Amino acid sequence: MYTGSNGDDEIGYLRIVNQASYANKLTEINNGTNLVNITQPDPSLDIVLQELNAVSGGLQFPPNIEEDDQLKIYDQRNIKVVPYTHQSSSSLKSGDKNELQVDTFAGMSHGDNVGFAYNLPVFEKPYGCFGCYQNPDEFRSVQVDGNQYQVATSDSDNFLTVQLDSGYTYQIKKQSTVYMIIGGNQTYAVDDYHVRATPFPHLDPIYGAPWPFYDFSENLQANEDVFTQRFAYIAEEQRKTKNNVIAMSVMAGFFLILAIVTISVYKLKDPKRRANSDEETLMRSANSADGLIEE
Amino acid sequence: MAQALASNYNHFGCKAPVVKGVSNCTAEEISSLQWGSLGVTNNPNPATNAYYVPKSTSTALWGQPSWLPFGVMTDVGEYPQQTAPQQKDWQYLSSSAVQAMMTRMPTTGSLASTYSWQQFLIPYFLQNQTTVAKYEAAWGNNVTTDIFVEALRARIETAYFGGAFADIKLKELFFGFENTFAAGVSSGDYILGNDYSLSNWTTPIMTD
Repeated sequence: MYTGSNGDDEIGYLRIVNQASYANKLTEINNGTNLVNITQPDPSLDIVLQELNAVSGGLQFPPNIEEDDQLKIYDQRNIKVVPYTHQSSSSLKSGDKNELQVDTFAGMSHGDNVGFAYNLPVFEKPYGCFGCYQNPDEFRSVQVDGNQYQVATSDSDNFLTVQLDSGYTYQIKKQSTVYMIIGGNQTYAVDDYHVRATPFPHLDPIYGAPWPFYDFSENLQANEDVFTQRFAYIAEEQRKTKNNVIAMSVMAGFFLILAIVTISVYKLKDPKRRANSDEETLMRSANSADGLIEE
Repeated sequence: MAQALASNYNHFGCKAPVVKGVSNCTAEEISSLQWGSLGVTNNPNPATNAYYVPKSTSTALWGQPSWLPFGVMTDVGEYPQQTAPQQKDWQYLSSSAVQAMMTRMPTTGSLASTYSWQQFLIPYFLQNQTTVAKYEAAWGNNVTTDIFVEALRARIETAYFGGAFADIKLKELFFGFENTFAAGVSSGDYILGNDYSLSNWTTPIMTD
């Protein structure tokens, strides 16, 4: 069977058949407790072994995605499944005939505890540890190349842009910083080596403190021209739908206005309303005449 | 030979029973004396032959591969040198204290000594003072467990990992490098369940 790759190591990890994910190779996943070896989801298996249910490799999802769907990607680097939720909608080639709507889904985490994948006490967080937990007892300061480490004041990118109708990914972008914490938990205890069950006494000064290991940045983006050309048929359908919606909206508005005008005219020209009005005039005239007589 | 052994027996204060009229130190006595207080290399017996135990801070520096089944000992592993960086601050353990630590455990008769060391470190780091006190009582007042554990940590850091700091190239961070400590850690007695599964290939950033 021709796999479409140049070698065994270049085969994609996951493929989707009939909206179900299958692993082309034996895939390892950390489900938070155990390392699970998976080839494909089997409904007869325990839920622990169905980690790949509705999980994608990241480049393609089942078509006709809804905005309230949660997209799940297998992160091969961190050996984790990462969920994404809808954030916003936008257009490629805006104003062009091939204008294509794409939707952005935000990652629900940057990875957090990824130590399992590396056998190291490492944690992946937003750039500059934005939003990280700060140990209130911490009095140490982290310096990088002699300068005070600056904690970020804004979140960093961690999103996935997908064409909902086709299910193809347009862009994946993630920017994070990986931190190492000797001991695995944030703690600060002065000269209390009783809690330091590590074989590195020279690292005691940084025990329990998150210090930046490296910055991580990835940005995988399809060529906009090629992407929009390939999905021109979807753009055309979207444009037709858009035009139909506009036309229907205009017509609906027109008929609504027409209905209001018609009702108004009808009310104004209503014969019954005119008859009533004549009778009212006569009654007033009669009343006035009676008053004159009484006077 | 018998005279030389008897001379060592008296010089090092051994107490092993005399066998067939020959007094001789046991290996446990000599090794305990050396490991806890450098009592052999710092106090060689001049009556025998100083050549065999020249004054030194470690048996590793005696340097006669023909004596030893494993060749030259390159590792300085004596206890005092792990307790403080300066010699004036070194902590010493008497031979009797070391022998007590090697033989007298709260779980005497049920576990091998290597496993009992692990049994000791678990309550120590969990700060179970009751259990730690039992170990201290079994070993004698000469042993301060805090200093002892610090010595073990320093020993592991230097002997197994070659120190806590290393210069690692960017390429090695990405594509991995062969570590030297896995072989040391992945060892021991397989029958006793010691770990042999550690890989000697470290990949800090990428996984494969």
